[in-house]
Amino acid sequence: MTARIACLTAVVLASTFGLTSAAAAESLDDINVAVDPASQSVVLGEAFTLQVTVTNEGDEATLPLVLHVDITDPQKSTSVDPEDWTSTLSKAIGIVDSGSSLTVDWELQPISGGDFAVYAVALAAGAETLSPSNVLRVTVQDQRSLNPGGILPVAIGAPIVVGGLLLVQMRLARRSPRVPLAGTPG
Amino acid sequence: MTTKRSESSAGWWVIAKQELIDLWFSSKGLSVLLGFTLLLSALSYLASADAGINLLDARESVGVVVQVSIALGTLAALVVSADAISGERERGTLEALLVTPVARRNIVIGKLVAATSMWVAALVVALPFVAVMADGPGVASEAVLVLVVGGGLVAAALTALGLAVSSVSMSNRTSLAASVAILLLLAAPSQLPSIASNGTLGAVFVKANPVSSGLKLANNVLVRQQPWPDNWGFLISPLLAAIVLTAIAIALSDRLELGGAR
Repeated sequence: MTARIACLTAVVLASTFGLTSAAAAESLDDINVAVDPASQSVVLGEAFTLQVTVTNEGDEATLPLVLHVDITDPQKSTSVDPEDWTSTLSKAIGIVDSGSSLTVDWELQPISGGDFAVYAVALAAGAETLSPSNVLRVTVQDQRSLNPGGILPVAIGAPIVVGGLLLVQMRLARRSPRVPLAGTPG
Repeated sequence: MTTKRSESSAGWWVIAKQELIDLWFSSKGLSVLLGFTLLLSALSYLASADAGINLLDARESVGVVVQVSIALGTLAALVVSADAISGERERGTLEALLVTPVARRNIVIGKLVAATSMWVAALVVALPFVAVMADGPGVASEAVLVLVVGGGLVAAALTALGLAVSSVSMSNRTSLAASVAILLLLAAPSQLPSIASNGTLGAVFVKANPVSSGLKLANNVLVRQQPWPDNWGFLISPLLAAIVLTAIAIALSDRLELGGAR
């Protein structure tokens, strides 16, 4: 009788432990993801580095994690294609032990001007939740100038050169003597 | 025999020289070139300004400027060649030309060379624009190559086409209208939506057409950054068209008529 109760207790405890373990493994609530800096101001085309730090505040090691970066334009309520900003959308960082942190660098290069929100998300295969980071506010200034790409000298100079040649030619044509036709007064 | 051959070969050069003088030492050639330059300047500036606010547009801007340079440059050459024979006919100077000791074939070849100089001049004007705009995205050498090779073959084909049309047209107005209409018809497929041009039949149609083939080459190499070896096929129809239309233009020289000027 005692043995049966012990076995039953062991089975119940084992099941409970198993369920608890499964729940902890599938939840990323104990994972803290932070991006740094909190704000960034760049000129169009200027690259900057985003640091993503993953901290495991739980009691157990995480599942193998994947970090994903996303970019959105809050003013237009649309998402920007992250592939325009970076060639690497996701990075696998493996398991993070309990109490440990892992930092990953991301190179981003904006391709259009405006105010954007950049954030990172930690995911794991089989996990029921994901862990988002804080938001990095990025301000990208357009490069508007009177001489975009250095084209202004050519855009102005070429017509001036061709027009000048035409004017010279017309003046030379006016100065050249007129030959009278036969039978007409000169 | 040797004297006759050398006179024959010199004949086309005499005609070409005279046509070049008439074209470039009168206001005609430079006026057309000025129009081309002004259009290209405006377009290049607007395209560069747009590329300044979105880096992905920089390559597309270069592609647009190269395509427009090819289209406008070949149009300028076409206008000159379309006037070559029919213009003489209207001005009443064709008879004087036909009674010269220069063979009719050499007259046409000389006029073809002179009309091609309009494309060469347009190319010289377009090169600085393309070089400056293509420097940013790093496609300068590809852009120049597309302009010279692709654009050159398309220009050769259309110049010969204009001359052939001019040979059989009794008035300059008819010759110009017909030549420009044919150019617009040939350029139309390049403006088709991508769905139509990417289908099997659409792709064959684009490749078979020398004008759309040349413009597609510019788009693929410069905007889509496809390698040259994958796009050699787009040079076949412009090359064939240049050879065939030049042969037709020369063959039609034997049938030159005075028309209304008689």
